[in-house]
Amino acid sequence: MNVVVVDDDPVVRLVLAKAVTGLGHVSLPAETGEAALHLVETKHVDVVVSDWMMPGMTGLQLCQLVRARDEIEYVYFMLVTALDDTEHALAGIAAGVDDCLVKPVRPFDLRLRLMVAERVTELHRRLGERQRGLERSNVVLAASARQDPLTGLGNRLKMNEDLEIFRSRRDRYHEAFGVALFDIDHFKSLNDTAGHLAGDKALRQVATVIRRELREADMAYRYGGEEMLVVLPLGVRRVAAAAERIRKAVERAVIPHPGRPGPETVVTASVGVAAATGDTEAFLVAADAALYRAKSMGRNQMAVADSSFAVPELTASP
Amino acid sequence: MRQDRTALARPEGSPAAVDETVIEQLASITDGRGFSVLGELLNAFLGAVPGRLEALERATAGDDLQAVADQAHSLTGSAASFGARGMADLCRDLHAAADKGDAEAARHLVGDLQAEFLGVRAWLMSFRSPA
Repeated sequence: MNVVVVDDDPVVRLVLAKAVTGLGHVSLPAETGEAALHLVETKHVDVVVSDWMMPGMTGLQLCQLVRARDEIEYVYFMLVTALDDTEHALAGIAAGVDDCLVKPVRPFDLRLRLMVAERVTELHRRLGERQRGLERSNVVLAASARQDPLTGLGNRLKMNEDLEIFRSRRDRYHEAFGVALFDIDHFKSLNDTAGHLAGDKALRQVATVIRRELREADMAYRYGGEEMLVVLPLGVRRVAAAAERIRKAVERAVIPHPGRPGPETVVTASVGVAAATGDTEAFLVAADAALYRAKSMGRNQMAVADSSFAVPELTASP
Repeated sequence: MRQDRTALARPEGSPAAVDETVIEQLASITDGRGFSVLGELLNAFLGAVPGRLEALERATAGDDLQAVADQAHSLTGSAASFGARGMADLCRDLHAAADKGDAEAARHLVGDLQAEFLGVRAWLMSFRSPA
């Protein structure tokens, strides 16, 4: 272990340093609390053995500053106090000191205490490693818990979270946004004719087309079975234009659609657009109604919710 | 072993200058290759103390009681680390006298300390160089 030995008295410091070295550790002697703190901040330090009473920073202050650092690596702190100094020992332990040694430090005592220190720092090291591992997997899990595994788009959880953010930005900064709800036309016949794997593949391909058509600030989610929701920070007219562009791109992608009724042979989508006014449920219902209208007008087209025409065109921030 | 050392170590006239058990503890410190570093430690102690005593003498002569208190405190640690209990006690008394502003007592105690160190040195020298 790397052991910082702090004492203002050079003879005492030498004795402690030699004792530490003799026990197979690396001793880092420091004349003052300030110098010791510098060592802790710049080197890997496992243990500090510090005198209490020193000119300048005391051992207690040193301990408090060592504890105040926001580091996972634990520094085991031993305070050296006079034999009858129960008051300082108590204050030290309360301030984060791990162990108190009585002056003059007996090498055998030091040996025992360093064995304990080694065990405790090893435990902390393993805990730290585990914690870092957990933090890494938490990041991965948080991302995957918000992604639709089939299409790679955001899932409903991610959609709900993001819509909250869009909504609060709209309410606070008057940043308009709108939604476009896409639904693959005659998707059931695709599944029935070509099988669910072909259906899944078509979903993935449509998702890829949508993603390619979006800009950085736009978001896309798998909304339901064959429904995908796109959220764009734009006024409703520009949302409608973007939705129409995406619809055409889906058609142009020429994704085969066997078993489709009518003359068409490729996958197409209908889309309902709504300005995001009021609460989330209201504009999602409006988009759904517009989608229904696009379907009933013959599919492969875009419709804008009636309510959205009454909305003054808000200019979205860039 | 202990018998031999004790016989060699105790000079006449200073029977309790140094607590031998402390020195035995120090003798157990090795350099990592199994060799005792006691000689090096004793040299450091014996080399450092005279200068410290001189500084104390100057400080008491100049009535710099703050310096006396600081020096006394520091010397307490050194003395205790080498089992020189008498010296450590005198250092504590000196610290207390300096804190109280008693320059006269401080001067006397520095004299006592110098005398005590002579006994400690004799003890340690004989311990260090067994015949």
